[in-house]
Amino acid sequence: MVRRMLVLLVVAGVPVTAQAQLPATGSISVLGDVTADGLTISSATPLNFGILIPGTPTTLNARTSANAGKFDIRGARRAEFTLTLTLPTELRVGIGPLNLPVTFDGTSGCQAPRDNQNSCSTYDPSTVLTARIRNQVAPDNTFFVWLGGTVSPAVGQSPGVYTAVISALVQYTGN
Amino acid sequence: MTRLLLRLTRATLVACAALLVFPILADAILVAPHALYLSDRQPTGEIFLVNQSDQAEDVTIDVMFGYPESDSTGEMRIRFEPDPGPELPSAAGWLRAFPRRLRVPPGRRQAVRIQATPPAGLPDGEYWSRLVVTSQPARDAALGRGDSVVRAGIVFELRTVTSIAFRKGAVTTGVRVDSARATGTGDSVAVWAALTREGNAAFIGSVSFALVNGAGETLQTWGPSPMAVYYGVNRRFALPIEAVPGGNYTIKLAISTARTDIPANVVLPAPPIEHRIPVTLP
Amino acid sequence: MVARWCVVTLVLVFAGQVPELTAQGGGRPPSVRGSQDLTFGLLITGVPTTISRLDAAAAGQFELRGAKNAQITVQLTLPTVMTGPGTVPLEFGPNDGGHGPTATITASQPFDPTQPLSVVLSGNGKYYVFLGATARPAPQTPSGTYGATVSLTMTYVGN
Repeated sequence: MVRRMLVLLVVAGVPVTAQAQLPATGSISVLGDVTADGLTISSATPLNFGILIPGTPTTLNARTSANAGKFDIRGARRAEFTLTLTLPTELRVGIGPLNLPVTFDGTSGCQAPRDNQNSCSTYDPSTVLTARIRNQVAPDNTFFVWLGGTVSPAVGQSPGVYTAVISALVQYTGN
Repeated sequence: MTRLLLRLTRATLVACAALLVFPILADAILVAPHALYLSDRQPTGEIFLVNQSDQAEDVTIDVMFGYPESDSTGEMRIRFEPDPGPELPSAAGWLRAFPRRLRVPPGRRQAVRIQATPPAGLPDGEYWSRLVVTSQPARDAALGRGDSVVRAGIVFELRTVTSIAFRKGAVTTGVRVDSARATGTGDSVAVWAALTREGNAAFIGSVSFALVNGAGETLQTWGPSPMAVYYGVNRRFALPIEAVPGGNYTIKLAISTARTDIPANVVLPAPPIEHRIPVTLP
Repeated sequence: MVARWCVVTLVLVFAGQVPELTAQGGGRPPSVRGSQDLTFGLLITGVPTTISRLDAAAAGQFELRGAKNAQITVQLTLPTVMTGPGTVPLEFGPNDGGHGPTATITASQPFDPTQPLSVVLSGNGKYYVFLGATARPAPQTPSGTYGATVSLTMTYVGN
């Protein structure tokens, strides 16, 4: 009887202690889907006509002017895209009556696959530009567009800061 | 002289048109993926917006029916139909984006959920839409605080358009070459290819070209480049050539469903096509 | 007589272990359950993506169970990359770990997941660990699905 009780006590004691010391382990997964196909258009440089002289038109050359507007387009390698610019006809001071005419001609746009303004090819920015992203990985999967134009202040142009909005739309043609 | 002085004085008082007192720094929203595919079994998906600039961007999401087509010059354009008729496979009326308006902090990314709720009884097939993501720098971030100086600038409104397709039931695709011709000039070959889509889903794939001489040797290759045929297109491809002597050659046009920018599990299978086009180089 | 004293002694020793047994959950075995994967979703090449430890939908989550009020150590085995068609480097920062006695992720306290964590299980024998991270796919990373495994080991250290 006593012997039986001793065996039971000894047996009962061992597993509890051993079970409490065992580490427990679990796991989770870390998951992600990689894609290389983000599309983006960025405006790196605004179109800045500088100080104007009333009665004297001022023209910014898209190929040579440091103040020309600039867009960067980045996307999938070799992907063909279109760029559509909605150009204003005037700049205004806020929502008031003061306005300043602006025009764009057949050479007001300039485009190139590399960031080299002096070597870009001019085009009419009022037309849709179709071009292709370079066959390079980021950060060289880029295309560049520069924008110039002409403002014509009147002789009696009122002082003020004249502004406008340029809308630029980019999209792939391959999907 | 007095009038000239007055004009110059006025000129100095005239602030720059589009003078930037504050800089607009690299306004840029990256949109990914550029092609989203939903289905009756998976009617929701996500588009990610990544603000790669150093200022907050206000973003608006719109959905509109559109698809690529060729114009008379052989260039591709996206045709938008704001009010598509019932004969057009438009998904724009029953696609929703959540949220539609948001502000993305600099350096951050934001998910936009796209949900399709197609009408009951929609026939099997593929339905199309375009997602228009419009971004502008956030006003208060651009102007700063406690600024008593008059500030001005040109605000650029940037729009990135991606495609969304909804597939219901059995969808198939393919493309056939109706006609093709090539014309050689001194430094390039112009290839015109009339392509028609088959099946009930847009053909999404790639096109490549090879210039082959009479001995069967490949002298130059171009592509593969992404290509889509939604209906019929008459496309012009300009292939620059380098140091190839004049004579008779063959342009091999190859079309396949291979794409590296779209997940393979959403690209519909279709037989590859190879078409040979004779061309004479001067 | 001697035998009876042996029995009494053993009973007393056994009884002396009872508080420890009670602290060890009265026999409840320790367990670790991975209750939610750490999910980055879409990763864009060249664009680092961070999942916060406070992100209830995307952060990794573990549920620990064991003896009530037991003192434990937690050790995470963290991968350096996700593997797939290529590899995507992973980073775990000093605040990418979160822990707490409830499943409320926003109430969790930060900790460095690269270091061991010593805590006490709650009064109901539960504890929760949350995990964020940063993935940095290089520009040339091949498209596709990527994955890795995070393991958590829980060890009793006794009272």
